[in-house]
Amino acid sequence: METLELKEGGMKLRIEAGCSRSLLVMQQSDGVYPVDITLEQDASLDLAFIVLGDVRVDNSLSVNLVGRGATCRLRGLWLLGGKADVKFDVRMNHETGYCTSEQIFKGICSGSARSDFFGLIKVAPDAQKTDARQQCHNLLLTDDARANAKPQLEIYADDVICTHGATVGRLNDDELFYMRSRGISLDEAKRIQLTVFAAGALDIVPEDVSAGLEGWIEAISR
Amino acid sequence: MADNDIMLDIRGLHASVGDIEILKGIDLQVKAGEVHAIMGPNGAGKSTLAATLAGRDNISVTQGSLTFDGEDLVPMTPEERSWKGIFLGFQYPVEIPGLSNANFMKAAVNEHRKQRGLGPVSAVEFLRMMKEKMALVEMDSSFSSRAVNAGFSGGEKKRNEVFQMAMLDPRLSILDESDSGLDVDALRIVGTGVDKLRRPDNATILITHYQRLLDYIVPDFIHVLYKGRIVMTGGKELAREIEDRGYDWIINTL
Repeated sequence: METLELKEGGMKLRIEAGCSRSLLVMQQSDGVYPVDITLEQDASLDLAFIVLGDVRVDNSLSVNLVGRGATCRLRGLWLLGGKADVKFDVRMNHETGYCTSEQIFKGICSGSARSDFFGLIKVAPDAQKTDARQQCHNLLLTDDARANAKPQLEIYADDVICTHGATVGRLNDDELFYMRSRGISLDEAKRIQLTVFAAGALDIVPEDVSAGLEGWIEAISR
Repeated sequence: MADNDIMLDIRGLHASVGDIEILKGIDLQVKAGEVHAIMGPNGAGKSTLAATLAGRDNISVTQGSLTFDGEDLVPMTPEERSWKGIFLGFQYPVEIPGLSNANFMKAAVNEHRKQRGLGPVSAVEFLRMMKEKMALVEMDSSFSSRAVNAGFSGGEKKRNEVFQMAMLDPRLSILDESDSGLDVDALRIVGTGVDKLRRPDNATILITHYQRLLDYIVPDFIHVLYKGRIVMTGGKELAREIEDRGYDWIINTL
């Protein structure tokens, strides 16, 4: 997986027919980042965003699947604290048939951080046999943290699979009590729960990158 | 009876969930080596008693005392109670998707070791422990990599509770309806598993509705809980009588 540095003011990427790219975007400072990505026939893209800390980030991402058989796996994880304010605007455009997209976003907000996720899956009339899936799940660790998740589907073809799910929740008390009843301390039980939650968005990310997030998870779990 | 023989000492215990008082004056003493069964109709407070012993934070003790080896349990967190040697087998074991049984137990075993001033368990030793305790409840090797209780059948969940009990080697186990929802094979595995873990230096409280679990783990005492109080205590023959006659004959004599 290569690291991709986003540029403020916009960035365009094109994955040519038959090519595959695997890209990691780490964001730990403020910025506004419009990104426009086009996938040609049988192109494949793994793209993971990891947003960390007390940052103001505005990502707007368009992925255009223009060639048959293109595949995109998109992941996003944000671990936010302080007064962080993170926006994700994702448009997954299935412009032609037989393309697959799978999006998994996981967000954890503590302090008075907030995140706003907007995710549109748009399936063009010709894009039959589309398989498009999107999940966005959020955990709030404090009363002042906020998360909004707005999934949206616009489907103009009739032979497609499209799913989406969005949740905003808190740490699960039953799980915490279960772990504590086995002698796992409250801090450790929280850390385990957050790690397991975040792992859902890290399946395409190398192990050393996810291991590097342990300190961040520990920091926001306290 | 010398007081220092008593492991768990419950005296005049009242406990509430929110504004509702569930336990209304429980007295119960448990000594090392003993098995106590607690029976009683639905809503009697059996599960609340179990959760109170384990330190569930939505329950508040409003009166009475609760000590374990002479130490006051009431201010202790659930993890502190676990470190002291108390184990709760859940009536409804919690599913934790994404966390493997092996990692769950490793975290638990290592915290227990830390409390005793020991370093983390070695990989070899942990594997040996897992294998031995999995055999006790007839779990196959795929079990250790499966997520905690996620997608487990009712029987597998209850066997997992007994497995965890074996891994943590508690001094006092409180098993809350470990026999509910089990088919005959799972009941045999759970029953014989718990019975094999019985020792002169540990004790067990079994919460159950049925005589059948007590065929495997023969209790020294049976207590009948009704409306938040123990209304009758007897020997193992009491379970048979309840099975035959129900609770009405006890309730009607009150």
